[in-house]
Amino acid sequence: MGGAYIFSPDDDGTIKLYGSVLQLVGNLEPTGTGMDQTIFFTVDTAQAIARTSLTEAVSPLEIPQGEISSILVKVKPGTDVHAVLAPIYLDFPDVVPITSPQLFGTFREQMLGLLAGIMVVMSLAWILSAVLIALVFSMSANERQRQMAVLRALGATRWYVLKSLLAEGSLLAIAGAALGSLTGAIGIYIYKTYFSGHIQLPFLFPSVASLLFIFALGLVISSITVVLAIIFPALRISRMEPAMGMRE
Amino acid sequence: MISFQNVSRTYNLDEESKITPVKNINLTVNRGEFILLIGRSGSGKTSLLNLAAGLVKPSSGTILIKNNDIWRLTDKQLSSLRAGTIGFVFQFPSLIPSLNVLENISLPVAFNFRMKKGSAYRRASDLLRKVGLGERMGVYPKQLSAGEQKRAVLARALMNDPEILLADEPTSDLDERTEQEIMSILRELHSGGMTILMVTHSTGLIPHASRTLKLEGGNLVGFTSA
Repeated sequence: MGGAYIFSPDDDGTIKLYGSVLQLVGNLEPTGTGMDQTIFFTVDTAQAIARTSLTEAVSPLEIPQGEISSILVKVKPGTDVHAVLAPIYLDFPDVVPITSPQLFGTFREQMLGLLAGIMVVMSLAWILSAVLIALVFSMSANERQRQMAVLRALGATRWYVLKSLLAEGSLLAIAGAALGSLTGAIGIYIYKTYFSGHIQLPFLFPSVASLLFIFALGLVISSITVVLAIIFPALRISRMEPAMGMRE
Repeated sequence: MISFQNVSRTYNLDEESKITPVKNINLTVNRGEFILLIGRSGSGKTSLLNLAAGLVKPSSGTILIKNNDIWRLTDKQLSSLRAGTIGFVFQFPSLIPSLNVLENISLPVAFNFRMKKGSAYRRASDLLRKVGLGERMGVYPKQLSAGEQKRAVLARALMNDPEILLADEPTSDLDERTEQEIMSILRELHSGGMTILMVTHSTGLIPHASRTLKLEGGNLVGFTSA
C-alpha cells in the first residue's frame, strides 16, 4: 500500500525495491504529511526484501534484529482502542502509542490557531480596503463630477449615472479580485514547500474545484465590498443638480 | 416654447451668505426666436440658461417648456425632454476625453432611443462635416484647438435634432473668423426654424439675433428687437 504520492514507475502496478518486485495494491488519501511518500508493507515482506537485497540490490537492506521504529496496528471497526493501548503501555514502557485522532488532532489544533489569526488579519484588511476604496472612488468621482453633469445635460437619467458609476466600480473590483486571486494562487503554488517547512504543518494544495470555488467567492465578495463602499459617493453624484456639478 | 414665470434661484454659499443670480424673471421665448442674453459676468446669464435646460431647479416660480411645467416631470421624463428637445452648448470644454470626436458627437443618441448606432454615426459624420471637422473625426478632444472643440460641442448639441438650442458663450475665446463660422451655423439653424437662446458678452453679435435681452444683477433690465 502506498501513500498518496507513491506510483508505479512503469505504470504496471509494480515497484522494484532493493531488487524485490512489489505489487502496489492501492494509494492512501493525501494527508500533507510524510506519510504521502511512504510505502506500507508487513514485517514479513520487509524481511523478505532484506534477504533478496543481499544478492539483487546494489547495497543490501539491513533490518537490525529486534529494532523497529514504528508499528501500525490496525484494529477492527468498533474495537475499544484504549483496551488495545493499555497492554502496550504496561508491557512495553519504552513504546509511545499514538492513536490516529491524536495524530491529526494536533495538526487540527495548530491549523485552527493559525486560521483564527489569518481571519483576524483578513477582516482588518477587508475593512481597511473598503474604507480606502470609498475614499479613492469618492476622489475619482469628484474629479469627474463635471463629466457626469454633462451626461445629465445630454439626457442621462440619475439612474443611468448611478448605474454607470456602480458598473465601473464593479468591473474594476472583478478585475482586481481576479488578478489578486490568480497571483495569490500562483505564489502559494510556487512557495508551498517553503510554507509547509516554515510553519511545520502538513500542507495540501486545494483541488481545482476548491480553487474555482474560492476564486468565484473572491469575485463575489470583492464586488459586494466595492458596491457597498462606493454606493454613497455614487448616490451623491447621481442626485446632484447637473448645474451644480458643472460649477465644481 | 419656453416660459419663465416669476422664476428666482438662490444659492447658499455657506450657512450665512446666499446669492440670487436670477430674480423674479418673467420671460417668454417664442418658437423660432433667436435670443441673445447679454450682461456682465455674474449677471445671471448662465444661471438663466441652466434653468431653461432644467439643469437646476428654481427656488421659486415656474418654467414651462412646450406648455409642460418641467419640474412636475419625473426624472425620466425630464431627462427625455433634455435628450430629445434641447441641445446644450457649454461654456467650458465638455467633450469626454476618453472618446474620440465621432464618439463624443454620437453620445446624445445613447439617451434618445430614436436612432440606431449606424444611423447615429452617419448623422454625427454629417454634422462634423457641417461644422468643418470632417477630417478630425478620429482624433481625441485634447488634440483639438479651442475653436474646434467649440464646433464639436455645437455638433453634439445638434445630434438629436433638437427644437431648442441653448448656447452658453459658444464664441468666447475664439478668433474673429471662427466666431463668424459659428454664428453662420447658428443663423442657418435659426433660419431652419430652431429656437435659440444664446449667452454672450459680445455686443457685436446683436445683429444676428431676433431679440436681445440684457441681464443685470439677476434682473432683466432691457431688450432690443431686430
